[in-house]
Amino acid sequence: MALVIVERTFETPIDFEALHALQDRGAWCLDLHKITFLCTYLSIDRRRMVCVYEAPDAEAVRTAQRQLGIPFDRAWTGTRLP
Amino acid sequence: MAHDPMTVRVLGELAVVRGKRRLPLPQSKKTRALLAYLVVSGRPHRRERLCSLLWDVTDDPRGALRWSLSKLRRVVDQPGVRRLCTDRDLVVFDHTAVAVDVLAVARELADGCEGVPTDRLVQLEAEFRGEFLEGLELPDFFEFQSWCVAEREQARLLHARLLETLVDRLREQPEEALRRARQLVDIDPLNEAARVRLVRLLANAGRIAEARQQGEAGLRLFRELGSAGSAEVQRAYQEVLAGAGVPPLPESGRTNTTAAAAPVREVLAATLGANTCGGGARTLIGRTEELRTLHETLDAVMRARRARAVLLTGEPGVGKTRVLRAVAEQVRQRGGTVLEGPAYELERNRPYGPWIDALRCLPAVSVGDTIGADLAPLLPEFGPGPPAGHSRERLFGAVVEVVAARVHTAPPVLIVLDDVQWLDDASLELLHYVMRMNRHRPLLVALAARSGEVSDNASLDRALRALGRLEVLDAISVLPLSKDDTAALVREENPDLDPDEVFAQCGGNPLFALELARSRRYSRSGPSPTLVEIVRDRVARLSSEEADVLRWGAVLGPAFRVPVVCTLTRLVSEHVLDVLERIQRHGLVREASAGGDAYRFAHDVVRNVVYADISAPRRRLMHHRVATTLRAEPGERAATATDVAHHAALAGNAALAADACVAAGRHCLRLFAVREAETLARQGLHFAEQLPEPDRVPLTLELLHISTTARKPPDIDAIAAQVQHLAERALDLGRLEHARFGFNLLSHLRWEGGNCAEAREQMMRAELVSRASDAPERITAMGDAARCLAMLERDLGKAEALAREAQARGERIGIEPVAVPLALGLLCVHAGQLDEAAALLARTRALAAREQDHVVEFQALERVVMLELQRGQLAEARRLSVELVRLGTKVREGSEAPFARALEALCRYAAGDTAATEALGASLDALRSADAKYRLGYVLTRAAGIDVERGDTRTARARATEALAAARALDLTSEIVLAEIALLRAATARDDGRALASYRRDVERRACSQLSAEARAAVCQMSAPAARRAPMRPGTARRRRYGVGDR
Repeated sequence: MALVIVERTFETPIDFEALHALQDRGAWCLDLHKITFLCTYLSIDRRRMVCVYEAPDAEAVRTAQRQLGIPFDRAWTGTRLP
Repeated sequence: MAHDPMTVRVLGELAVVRGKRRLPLPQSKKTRALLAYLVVSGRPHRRERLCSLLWDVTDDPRGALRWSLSKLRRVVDQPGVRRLCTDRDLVVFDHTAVAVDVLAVARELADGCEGVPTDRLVQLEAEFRGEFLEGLELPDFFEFQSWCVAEREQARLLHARLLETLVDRLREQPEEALRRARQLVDIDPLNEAARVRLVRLLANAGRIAEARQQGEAGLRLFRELGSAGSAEVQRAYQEVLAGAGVPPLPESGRTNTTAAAAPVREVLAATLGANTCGGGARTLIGRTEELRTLHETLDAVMRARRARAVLLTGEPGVGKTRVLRAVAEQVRQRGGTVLEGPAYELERNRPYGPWIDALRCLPAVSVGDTIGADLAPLLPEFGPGPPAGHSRERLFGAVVEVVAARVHTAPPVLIVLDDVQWLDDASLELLHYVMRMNRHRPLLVALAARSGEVSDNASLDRALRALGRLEVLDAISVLPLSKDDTAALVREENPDLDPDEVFAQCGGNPLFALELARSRRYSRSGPSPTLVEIVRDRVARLSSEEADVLRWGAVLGPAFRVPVVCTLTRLVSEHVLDVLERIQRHGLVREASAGGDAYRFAHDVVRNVVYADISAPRRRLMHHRVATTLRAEPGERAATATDVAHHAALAGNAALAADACVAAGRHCLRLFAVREAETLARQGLHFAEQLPEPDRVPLTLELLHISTTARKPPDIDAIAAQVQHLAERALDLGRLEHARFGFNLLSHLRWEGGNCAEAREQMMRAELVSRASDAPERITAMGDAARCLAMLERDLGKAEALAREAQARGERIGIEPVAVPLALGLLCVHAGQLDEAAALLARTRALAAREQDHVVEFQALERVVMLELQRGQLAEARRLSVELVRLGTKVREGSEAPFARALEALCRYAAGDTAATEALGASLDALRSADAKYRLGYVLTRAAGIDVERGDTRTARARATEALAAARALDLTSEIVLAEIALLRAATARDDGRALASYRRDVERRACSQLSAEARAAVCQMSAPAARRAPMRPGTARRRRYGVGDR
């Protein structure tokens, strides 16, 4: 499994709870793609967000995000450095 | 040897009489309830049935049943006579030579009262000593309670029939008729005819004032209960009273529903002042030994700075509470902190109730913001609300912090928990935690319990043993007073009494002694009254208004808030306080805490007597009013949810009770009180079963959610099946929110049960239902789900079903979500129906282009390219891949662009274009960077096939190995097989027998799973002998060697 980082930016401050709810509703889709949500980092102005998932590959995360209508800028696979 | 006949009396307090002797019964309520149930039901019962009737699943019910039966045998069995007959499975009470009052009366009156002589009716009437199983309430055990309520109602109706007949027959004896008429109104107060008859009899007997009182009381009752019929009663009363020459009744009583009532606390403070002790403080008599032990313990706690707990046990009324109060006073005088919270029998489902009351003794300002926020679930007045991630550990930690802070600022700290035999499980867990975490602090926890009832609370038993293991618990038995001490007590109350006679009657029980001293009924010559009779007599001396307020108090519980009483009685607060003050002077109630707005009964015997004297129908109506009143209270009080559930259950209003159990259960879960939540859920399910389906289904789902959240069900499959049925029914009933809720719950249960595939399906159903607020959304959701499944090659049957249903529904309302033809197209590709697939993918492209959905348009076109490659139509594939490259540039982020370039390069590579090698390599690198394993693997596998054809087995093996790893990462069976076949072919080409065998075995193993048509064709190709392999012909849909087309 890979660590997939998803970057998002928003023109107006995001309602994090609404976004999270959208992801929760699509939990079945994430599960089908074997995606596990790990954590989110949100900027103080709530315009930038980084979400970290565990998934087979980055494409699975992109596909699921598009399916659920959750906007993102980039999704890429990363490695955690010690 | 002749045995004395035995009588079991259930009309009134449960009693067993042998000869003329009343036998002492076990103190445990459940044990007595068991006896009553066996005797009255008169038939064998399975042990499991009795266990579920009276014991919690988690409390070793079979062990508790055996223990209770052993206690009962000592009462009912005699030498040579076994009345409790048991075997491994069944328990039955043998009625031979046993008379049971209610059964005897019912037998004689089975054909009505008409044929029974009057003398005999009078004798039968004397059997009714009180309500059926008076005082034996087990509200937490609703099956027993329901049975008891039903039997009580039967007995009441029997009694009412008997009394009606006697009133008629005894017309010539007015006093006797009047007595029965009064009784009839008492037990059936809503019987208008009975009340009118009583008023008439009183008027005829010249008792005008009483006739008027009865009329007023009846009208007030109907007004209070909002019951119909008051107009009829009013008219009848006026006629009767006019006939007697009495002025008509006023239109309204002393109620004033619109007057603005002053805040109760202010009025209370003004009239009674602060620090008033309810009922009058009385000097503690005796108890020297107990107090000495407690003071020594307190000193030791202070000296050694080590926490201890002390458990006082004793019979009811022996003075445990009085001793606790004396110790509390001592601690206050030392400048210490006292936190007091009694447990109540009726509040066992109110989690942390006594702790809430105890912590309320502290001023809110003394608790900091952080701790206040953590305590907010229990005490909203302490803070704004718990932070996210609040847990039981934080809640418990906050209580420990509060205690520690008080130890620092005002030691010693005394926590008093009274009547712990009724302590709820959550409170017990908190108690243990507080003791454990404060072991090295000067903390004394004083507990009081009724001996004999500790065993009824298995959780308390466990908690006490745990405290024992911590070596922090001491026990003190509070024994009855000595003769001298009893004499001193009695002399204080009534110096004219002979204290020796009183001691002989009360046996040193202080409560009984005091009641005897106050009672006017006490007489040296007459029969000794029981404690209950004495209290009843005192209550009967109250005015009707005082009795009304007291009755509402009794219905509310052992303690009651004045504002609620004001609402229920429709009296202003000043007036209610006035009445309560008078009742307080009778010693029947006292303030619950100084400066508060609540009162409590002086002893639960008082409350039980008042409550028992309310007729069952009236009780139900009163509980209903209480439930609706509490539910309408603004703001959320910790007690309210469980209180509403309790009163709604006693009102017998199944809908209100089930709904209240949901709210109360959720409240308990929020407080991490899981056992209470589970009990409430079980209660709620019992009530929900009585409702019609449209109401029953959603409530049952919510209650099952609470129950399964509180405790993992032992039989997950059974519960899951039940939830599935309910979710489907909710869908049929159009209750979409509950259907979604149900499918989500089902998914969770399947996860718990390890059935992941089923869990995923139910999650998807939940999502589909959740989008069903309008049909287009739901149809789109179904199409999306189908596409998802098809792309991942999962549950293809399900995918097709969803896609077909979405297609059919869409056609009905004239919409065509783009995901539907895409899903169907992917399924056709998988099945090898390439022509149909091409048409569907073309349709998808058109729809997507119209909607400017470049991603879906790309997905459709890429599949068309792949389809053409599968067909061997290389030129067409290449043409389309050029278009795909153009489309790929429109998709902002992802692997679309590099995949399009890879497909285009693959087509040229397959055509022998050497320049394509570098382009292919570059696009594969880009796919690796994008981490798009499916697309990467697809290109690698097809390229490997081309490499094998060209004899470049080394490159083929490298590419196929990477493709296999990618396919395995995604668990795509068809792609795994195709990659392995590529490896197989490479191994065959270089004559690598070992690798050949390994790959062949794996391919054969996977050949039975649901492969795509392309993969199946490759498997067949692999299996056919080389000489018989048919030459490739372009244009055939099946049995094609992939990747190599016509040149």
